[in-house]
Amino acid sequence: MPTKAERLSDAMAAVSRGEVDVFGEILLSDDVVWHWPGRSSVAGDYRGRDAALDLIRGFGQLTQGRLRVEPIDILEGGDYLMAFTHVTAEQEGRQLDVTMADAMRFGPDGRVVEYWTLSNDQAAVDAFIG
Amino acid sequence: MSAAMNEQVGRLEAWLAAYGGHDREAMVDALAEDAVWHVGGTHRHSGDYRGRDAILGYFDSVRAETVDTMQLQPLEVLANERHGAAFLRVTGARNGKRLDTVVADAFRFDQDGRIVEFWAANANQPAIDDFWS
Repeated sequence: MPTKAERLSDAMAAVSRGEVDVFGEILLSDDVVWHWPGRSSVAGDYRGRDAALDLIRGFGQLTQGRLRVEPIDILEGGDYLMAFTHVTAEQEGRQLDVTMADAMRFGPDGRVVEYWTLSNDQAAVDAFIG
Repeated sequence: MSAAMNEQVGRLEAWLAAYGGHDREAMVDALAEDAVWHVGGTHRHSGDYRGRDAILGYFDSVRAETVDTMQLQPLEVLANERHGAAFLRVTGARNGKRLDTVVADAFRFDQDGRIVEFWAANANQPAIDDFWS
C-alpha cells in the first residue's frame, strides 16, 4: 500500500490534470466526511465521496483553472496527515493568497475518511467564494 | 525523522501540556511575541488574536467560562522545523452543555521554534458554536 503522502501526491497530480474522479478514487473513502469551514455559501459538511467531489468541481469552475496550489510541507503520522500549501487564486479581479492546512484522517483501507480544510485567513476564503 | 523534527514534536507536546496545565510561564516561552491565533467558527470567541498578550487573554476567557473542565487528549502530534499539526480530542462542560469533538490544529514556527501562527478546524463546528452560545 502506498504511504499516505504518496497517495496524496498521486491524487493532487490527478486533480491538476482535471481528473477529479481519479482524485476521489485514489484518496477518498466511499463514506468520507469533508468539513468545509467558514461562512461562505459552501460552508458545511459533505458526506460521501460524490458530495466531496462535487465540492471540488465547484471550486474548479469558480476559479476557472486560475487556482495555484504550491506544496510547502507534509506531516505524516499513523492515522493522520496534515498538508500545508500556499494557495493563490483569482476571479473577476478578486485575489486570494492564503496558507492552507489540509488535515486528513485515514481509514483502514488507506484512504481518507475525514477531511478538514483549514485556512489561516478564513474570512479571505469566504469573501473569495462568496 | 531527523533530530530537529523530533525536537520540534517534543516542543509541540510540551506546548499542549502547558496549555492543558495552565502553565503560564511555559506558554509565554513557547509563543512568539507577535504570534497570531486564528479561532474559527461563528461563536463569541471567533476571530484573530494578535500578539502574545491577546492570545493569553483569550485562553483566560476560555478557562474562566469552562471552570477548568476543558481537556485536551492528544491523538497524534506531528512537526518539522517549520510547521506542526496536533489532532486532539477535546471535551468540556459549560452551563450544563457538554462538548466532545476532535480538532485538527495547525501551527507555524519561527526560527527559534516558537509558535508564531495557529489555526484550527474541528469535526463539528456547529457543536462548538452551540457550546459557546
